[in-house]
Amino acid sequence: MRAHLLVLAGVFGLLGCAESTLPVESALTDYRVLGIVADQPEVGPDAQVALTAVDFDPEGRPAGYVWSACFYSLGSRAKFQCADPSLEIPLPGAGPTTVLDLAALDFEARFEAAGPLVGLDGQVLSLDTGVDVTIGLTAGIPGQRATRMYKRVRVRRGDAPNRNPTVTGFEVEGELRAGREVTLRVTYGDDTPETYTEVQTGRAATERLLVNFYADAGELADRSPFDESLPDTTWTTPDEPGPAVLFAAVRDGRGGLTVLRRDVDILP
Amino acid sequence: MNRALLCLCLLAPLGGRAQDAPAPAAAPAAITPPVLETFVEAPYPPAALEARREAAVIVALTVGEDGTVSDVEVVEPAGDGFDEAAVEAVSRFRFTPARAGDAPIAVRIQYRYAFTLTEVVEEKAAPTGRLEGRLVEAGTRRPLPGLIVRLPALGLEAISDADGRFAFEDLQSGRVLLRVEDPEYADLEDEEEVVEGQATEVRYILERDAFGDTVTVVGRRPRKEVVRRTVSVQEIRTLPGTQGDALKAVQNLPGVARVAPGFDGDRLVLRGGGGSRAYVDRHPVPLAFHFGGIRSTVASALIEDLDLYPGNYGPEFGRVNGGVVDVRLRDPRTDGLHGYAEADVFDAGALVEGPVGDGGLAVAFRRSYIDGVLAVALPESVRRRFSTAPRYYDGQVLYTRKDGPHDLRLLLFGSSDRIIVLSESAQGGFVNEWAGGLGRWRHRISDTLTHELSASLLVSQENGRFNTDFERNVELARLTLRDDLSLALSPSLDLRLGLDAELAVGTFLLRSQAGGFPREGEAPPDGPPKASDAEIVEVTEDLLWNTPAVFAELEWRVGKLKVLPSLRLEWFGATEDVAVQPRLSARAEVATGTTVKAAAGLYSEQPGPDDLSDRFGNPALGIERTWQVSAGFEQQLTEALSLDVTGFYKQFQDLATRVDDPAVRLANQGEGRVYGVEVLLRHDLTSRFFGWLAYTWQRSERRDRPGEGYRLFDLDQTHNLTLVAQYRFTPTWEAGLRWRFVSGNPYTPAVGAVVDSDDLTYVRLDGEANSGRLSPYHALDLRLDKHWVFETWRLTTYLEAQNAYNRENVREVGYSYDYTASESQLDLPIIPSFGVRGEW
Repeated sequence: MRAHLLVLAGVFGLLGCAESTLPVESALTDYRVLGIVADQPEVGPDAQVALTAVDFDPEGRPAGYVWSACFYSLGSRAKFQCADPSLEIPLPGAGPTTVLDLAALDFEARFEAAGPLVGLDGQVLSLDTGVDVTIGLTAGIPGQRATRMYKRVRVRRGDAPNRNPTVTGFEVEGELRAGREVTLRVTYGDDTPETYTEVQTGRAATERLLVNFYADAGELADRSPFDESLPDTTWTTPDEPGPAVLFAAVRDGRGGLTVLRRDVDILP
Repeated sequence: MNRALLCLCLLAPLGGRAQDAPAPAAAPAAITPPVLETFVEAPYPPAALEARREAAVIVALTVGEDGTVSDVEVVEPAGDGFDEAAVEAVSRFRFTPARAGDAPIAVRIQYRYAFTLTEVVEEKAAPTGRLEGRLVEAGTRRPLPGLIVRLPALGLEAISDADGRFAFEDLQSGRVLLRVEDPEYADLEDEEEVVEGQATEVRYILERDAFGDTVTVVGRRPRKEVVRRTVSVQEIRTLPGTQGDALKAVQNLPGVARVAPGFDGDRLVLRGGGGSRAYVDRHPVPLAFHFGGIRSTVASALIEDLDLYPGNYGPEFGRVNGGVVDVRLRDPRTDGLHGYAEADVFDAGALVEGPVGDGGLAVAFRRSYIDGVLAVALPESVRRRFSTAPRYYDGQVLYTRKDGPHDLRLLLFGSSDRIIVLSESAQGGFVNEWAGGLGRWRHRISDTLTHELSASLLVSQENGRFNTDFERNVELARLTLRDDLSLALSPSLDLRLGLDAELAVGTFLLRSQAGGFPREGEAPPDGPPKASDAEIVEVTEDLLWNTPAVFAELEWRVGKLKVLPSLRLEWFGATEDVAVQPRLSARAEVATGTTVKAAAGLYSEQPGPDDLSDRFGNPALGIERTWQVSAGFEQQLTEALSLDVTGFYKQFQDLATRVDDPAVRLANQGEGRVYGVEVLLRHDLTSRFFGWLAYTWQRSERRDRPGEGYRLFDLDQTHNLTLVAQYRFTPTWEAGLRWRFVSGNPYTPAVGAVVDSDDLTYVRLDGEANSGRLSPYHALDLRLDKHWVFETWRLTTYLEAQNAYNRENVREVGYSYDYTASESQLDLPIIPSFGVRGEW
């Protein structure tokens, strides 16, 4: 297995040797679901979790939403395929929010009834170490290509559940005039990042916060994966004055996600 | 009236010219050329004598292991009866046979028989003095054996010995004209003073006048394998596109898939698939190339030649079910202090060698300066991401000593590749380092029994990481032990017995996304590996791999038929499998210049640590097996032109493939098949030209689960054509080209994506595995070399243009972040480069 090559390929992919004409992820030019935010990314086996799809359409069109949950998904490698169809259930609501009511769904009993299940690392799953319920969302503008998105909600007995990052500010530093370079910056609360114990290794760790910025106009600086943990970036404002929408999505790598929106007016 | 000039301008051990190769110019000839013992004077053709016409006839002849001459053939005729007279006389020559080490070998040489009208001095003057001297090559100071030194006025001649020395006894005092003529060297004519009662010592530096070495070895050892292809350093030294790197040159041979340059450019994929291994003196090295194929990790100047076995290799190799490359090092020079210093756009290196005690010692070192180049070429925003920019170095210390029947070799060597990314927001990098030693003792116990014992110990670390999402670290101490016994049971029967044991001890750490890395047929990652914490899996294991093997091979010769049945027994400790691997090969010369050949055998390979780990793979996996079959023929078309056609079939069994069960993950359930034909049309190195045309047609298919349909391997390249040509216009100017046409690689297209909200990444949805194919690759590489030859050293510069007509070859298909749009990502554009090398 030539694993190191994967690292090298990624590292040198950052050099940007060739110009690409492909669409840029940070440019919101069409309908986009930016993420699913759970009010609690980690909960107990009888909890109720509110889920919200953060989406944006430059044309402001109404979107459709279909929610579901799988109690035993095979993970991203298997494209979140639900291992057992009997463990996949629809969630209520046709709007951008829904609720996962584990108690109402009798999650714990279903989990136990399914017998010993093996996790992605080959180990037997346990509610003491955590079991992921995978939320599925299909969203889109009617008549157009839909987006299929997944989010894990970790179900675990015990204390100190993970929380979404606390983002106290999303600021624009600089003059909001057409064609200018300004800085976008997020700031975190005192409780962010959190320290926690890794499930796999039992080691103490500190969350590494990663930030994605989006804009529906102007141009955001190209941010490689090496820059994702930087809380700021450069935005070149549009050449024409008018309204613009900015987003910052902060994730903690453990399922915690906070998405902030900022609407600005660009002056001449 | 007639005189002869010996010219060992082409010396070729018999049995497989198509796979043969020349010896390196800087190396002392591994072959001891034949020495003419009995010269037969040809009658001067009467008509020519009457017309006072002089001429020279160049003939090719075979000098057998017993020194007799056969198969005399006129290469450059002179007419007027000269040809017949020369053939008749040369046929009765006797030689001291050529030797490879201590063993006499049959060789093919050329001989220039000169007919000159020189008045014979009927009575020599009274003996009064001695003239002795030495012939060496300008620039390299290499001794020149086998050249004729003539004193035309006296009708005397002498042949230089292995050390280039010659002597004339009992010469009358006074001035004497001396002449050396050889097709390989500029004519030399000089007058020397012979002093009564004294020895006059002279030293002549001859300037090379033609291509390559005097001795061109085109198949040093008797052939036994059906598909061994040998490349010598001399042959590829100026090959365009390889920067003079011997290992890179193997990519131009049939059966070798083209791999795009990059960080997996060092992959050696032979005959469509299966594992492959690189060896140095039959001991494996952890990393054959720096940074994906930029340069091999062993200095080419220390390489004598290398053998490529794309399949059906002998029982002395194992542990892979694909093919093998075996690099053989040369002995350091012992005829004085020599060396070189060289530099090109990638790196700079130097080598010093000379006699030490009773042996020879060579020390070589090389370091890249890509980091320095990038520091200038890259924009600051990118440059600041590296704490250690890409850099590599390697070094070798080689000592050899021969003492009668004993031959001792000690090698210390190591290599380091390192790139570290350390920005304020991320960490990542790659380290691949290894170092160790290799010792070999060969003892020729008798004419019929040879014993060779060798061992190597290498310590290596391979580490790749990116932030906390991914790390793979393998640290190994690998001991390999080989013990070979060769016994001639009878004139027609040889027996080879061997032990080939490997013991590796170390640690393995892998922290990555569940499921590990993409496997054969799965799309490669589009960026650095990362995963949500929910899917991060980490495993740390101690490794203890012991794979002892014993083998036996019989070589049975009946007339012109050679049959080699063999058996290799191997224990794979990690999987607890015993592999019984029978192999059989045969060659037969069915007509003059025509050899047919066939081979079949079983090969086994153990899964790697990732596949055997209990969280990413399956510790219950067994070995993978491959049946390999080859058959074909070799045809000598002309003295220099040969054709080799080989068909092959490989059947893979028990391939480790994915299972949709997190508790199992992998199982030995895959199978595959590869079939095709390889063609090599080769023009051996002659005075001005060499080149080859290599073509492979093949199809490689596999299925990962029983009942599935077959799909293509990742590097299924239907057509692979390489044309290599090198021509020396003058003694100091030469030019070369390489043109390649290769079918585009298959790829797995993306048909969409789902979004992982926890990572904010798009997870691609794959279409049918390897159902797409890139457009064909073709490119022309050009190279121009200029040499300046001084008395004691030589300077070479070269200019090279890779992809000279700037073909926009597609490297891969790139996708937008959401996999809704795609574009072709191109391979390297035209790349000019240059280099300089001074050697003494």
